[in-house]
Amino acid sequence: MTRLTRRQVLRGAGGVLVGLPALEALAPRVARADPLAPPKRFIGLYHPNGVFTPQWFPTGVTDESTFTLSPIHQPLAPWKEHVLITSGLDMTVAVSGPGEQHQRGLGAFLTGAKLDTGNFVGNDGSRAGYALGPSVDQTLVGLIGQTTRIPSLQLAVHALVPNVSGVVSYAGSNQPLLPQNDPRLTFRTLFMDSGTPPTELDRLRARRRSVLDSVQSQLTTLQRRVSTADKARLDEHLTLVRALEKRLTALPAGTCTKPTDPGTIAFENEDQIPTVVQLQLDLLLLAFRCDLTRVATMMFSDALNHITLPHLDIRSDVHNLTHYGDSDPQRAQVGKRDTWQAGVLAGILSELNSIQENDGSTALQHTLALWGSDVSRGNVHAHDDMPFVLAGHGAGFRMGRFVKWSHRFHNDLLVSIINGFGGSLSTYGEPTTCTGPLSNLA
Amino acid sequence: MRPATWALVVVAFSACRPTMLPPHTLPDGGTVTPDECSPAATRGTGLRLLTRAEYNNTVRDLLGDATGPAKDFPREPLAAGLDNNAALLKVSSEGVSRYLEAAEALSLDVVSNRRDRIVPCNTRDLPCANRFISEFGLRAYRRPLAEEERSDLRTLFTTAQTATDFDTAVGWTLQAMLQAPQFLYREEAPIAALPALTVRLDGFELAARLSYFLWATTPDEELLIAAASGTLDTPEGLTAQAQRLLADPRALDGLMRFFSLWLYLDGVQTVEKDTRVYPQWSHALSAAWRRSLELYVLDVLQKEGTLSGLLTANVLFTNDTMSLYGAASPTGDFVRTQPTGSQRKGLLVQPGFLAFKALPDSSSPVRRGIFVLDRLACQPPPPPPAGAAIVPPAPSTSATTRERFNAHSTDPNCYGCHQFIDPPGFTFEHYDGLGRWRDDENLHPIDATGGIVNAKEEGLRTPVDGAQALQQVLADSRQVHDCLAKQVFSFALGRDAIEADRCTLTQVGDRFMNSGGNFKELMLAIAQSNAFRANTNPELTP
Repeated sequence: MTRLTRRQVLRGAGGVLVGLPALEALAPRVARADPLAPPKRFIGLYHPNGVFTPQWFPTGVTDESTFTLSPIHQPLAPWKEHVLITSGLDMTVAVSGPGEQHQRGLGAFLTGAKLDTGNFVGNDGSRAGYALGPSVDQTLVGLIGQTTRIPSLQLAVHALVPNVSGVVSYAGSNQPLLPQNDPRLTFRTLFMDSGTPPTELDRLRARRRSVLDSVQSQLTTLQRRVSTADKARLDEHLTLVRALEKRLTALPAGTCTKPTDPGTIAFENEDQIPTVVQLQLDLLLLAFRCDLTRVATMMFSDALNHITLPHLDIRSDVHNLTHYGDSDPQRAQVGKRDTWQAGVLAGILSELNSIQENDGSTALQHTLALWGSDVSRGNVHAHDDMPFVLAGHGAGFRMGRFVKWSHRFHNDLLVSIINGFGGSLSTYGEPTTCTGPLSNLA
Repeated sequence: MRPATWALVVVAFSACRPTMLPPHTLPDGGTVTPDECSPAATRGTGLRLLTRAEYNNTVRDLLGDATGPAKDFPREPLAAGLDNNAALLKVSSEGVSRYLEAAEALSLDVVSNRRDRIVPCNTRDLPCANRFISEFGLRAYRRPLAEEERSDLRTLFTTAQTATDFDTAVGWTLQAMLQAPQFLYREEAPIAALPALTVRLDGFELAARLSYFLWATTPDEELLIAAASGTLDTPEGLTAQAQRLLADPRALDGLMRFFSLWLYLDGVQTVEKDTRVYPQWSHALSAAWRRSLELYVLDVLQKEGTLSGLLTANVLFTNDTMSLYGAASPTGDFVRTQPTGSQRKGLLVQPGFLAFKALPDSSSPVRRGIFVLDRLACQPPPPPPAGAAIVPPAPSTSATTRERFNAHSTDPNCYGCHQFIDPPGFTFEHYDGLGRWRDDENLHPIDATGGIVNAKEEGLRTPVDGAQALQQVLADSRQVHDCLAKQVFSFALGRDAIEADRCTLTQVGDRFMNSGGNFKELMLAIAQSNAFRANTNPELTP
């Protein structure tokens, strides 16, 4: 198969060009998927600069299933049977390469890939490009998200820097998908036309069909005049226009429930962080409920994380707080933030559990959430023993456990997730830091 | 506008110079003649997606839009702080939705309110439709339309007119044009058959490159005429047009766009402070910081127009929100003041810059030092060693920030990098986390001595006392002029400057320095370079 046809195949799959590993993952199982089965869903949650390790890991561990949740994880107590806390997973891919440790860790979190050599200034002035591969959420679009109105959502609260420190999702190598920080625009993406009366909608659709057909003709005309590389670039654009036309003129515009426009919010202000989190997650869960999308990521600030958290009475620069020694009272404030974050996850699980599927199960049974960070311990910028928490049963993992591995690559978790959703990959991301799927998950 | 006949003309450079130059040794003060430099090979694309700022300016000039619809478009991924890296700018699923929404709103507005701006006739017949498609099309696509493009749009127009009426059909057609890649991407994409190594941009491609670089917007009519007549194909013609654009007040629009990104003004606006330490802080103050800083840069570019002026002008723009910096305007309007003394002399001691490059509760020699090293000296420090324990200097009510940071010089984990980062940062210690002047901190006198101890250029290593002295050293430095020239060059071409650009950058840097650091001379030098006028053959790139 030539490279071009291979690319075309991939492009056809998910609306965006996904990385090569997705090809092998796609074909067989998707074809067999039961159209009436409840939809599978994935959420990636990013939390910057590691965690307050002394209060992170479970205590009183008798065996995998018998343990006491740590202080930070207390908000997850009602959901303990639906959560898996990991230990011993190392983000080795982020230990070296271009960029500083936060950039590398954020870039690698969902891609398992290194950063490109580039020219971009990090927190410490070092330079790095964007990640060199697709993120698992985007690969999963090809597996579980092909039939929905919106392929995937990239959301954030206060992840304002539009560079390698502010992006967790990648459509492919050097294809960052910057997140949406403004709930007003999240709403527009999800619910465009939802309030339009049917008669007007018919007219609107007829016009858009004609206009977008013409746009596609213009596009193919331009393609004849550009280089081979730019032809491929325009092919990707064409795929997006076709998908837009389908979305706006072929799919039903109504939703399963009447959404409320959140209106204008000062989403860049730190005192609005809890409000923005609530609105973004409400919209995301509404999108799940109405099956508008099945794949999402949400960033809670960016890797620079130069913010304060007034709603938690954390008034210092949070990134700076993560740098203090474990016994320093300054650093304990990080634990307060982490506990809040665990509560946010608990809220998501509660909402998922309230979404009823056709077969009587709830969405919690069919969703996997992965909560992780760019480093494990911010004060040494470590990448070993990463603080990953999995929740929900979407990938078929056995939950309600605290599982310790002995220095396995985090790429192994990523490939396990893909396969848990029906993929059949042997590796994901940087091949030298991937030994294959983890045992003891399913 | 007279109709222009246009065809894709591909002109390979007749002299087959090697695409990749061997690494040049920087000549000591010598000059390189323009013809020695070839355009450098880069990976990437000849299709440059309009940035949000470019889109807004373009629809303002094309349609008279005043709403700036691109504010809701997806953000650009920055590369080295700049928003127009062509390879990284890609459309997304969200992006195509926003383009559609904007096209619908813009067409409704212009057809209802300013129809004459886009339709050159009132006959509402087929010849009029054809004129609209050809003549407005030329301005929207920044080149004459190919016959196939015209006929496709004519088909849409006819369909629309059959279903509705002439003016509505204008709106439909406009919507298609505004979503067409011919509008959304600046075409700088000439192709040539191999083995041609380089390929010249044609007049229309050059017109767009020039206009977006200098004016941050679509070419005006005179530029399009120059393109159609072939004038831009000659170095003299290109120079004449570049000089015309640079003489216009809009010549600062492109440069202001560059400086907004270089300073990251969007970040200044969203700075927040710990109100227990700085009860004076408010969101309004952050907004004022941004505006004050922006006005400072604009003022210097209008008056001195030089890098030296930028680093040494004694100007402060202030309003009632900024009364904590001394003489203030009694209203929310900003006034230009020339403070007594030198506490506000230069860009790097403007309140907005200092407050942005600080922590929520204190100053930050680190953030200030890194900015100087990275953005002005082009010598960013390396990242901290892996696994090193980072122990921030503890807060103190008795020591100065400088004393607290002395841990950096005793801890070997820190010393490796902070021996270079802290000394330029310390020169700003007369300014607290809000950018207010202070003579002492916690009852200890401020020590603001320091400098760029590891600068490649000897003169730049001069020890200084205070940020004003540091700025004077920066203002006199060739290394700093070269550093800025490289970044503006990168902004002009929408790609990183690479080793193979060294020849061009040396030549451009000479002219920038010899002109006394004049930014317009810098922009002219870039526009006249072969790298600006031609690309390497895209079929050569791997």
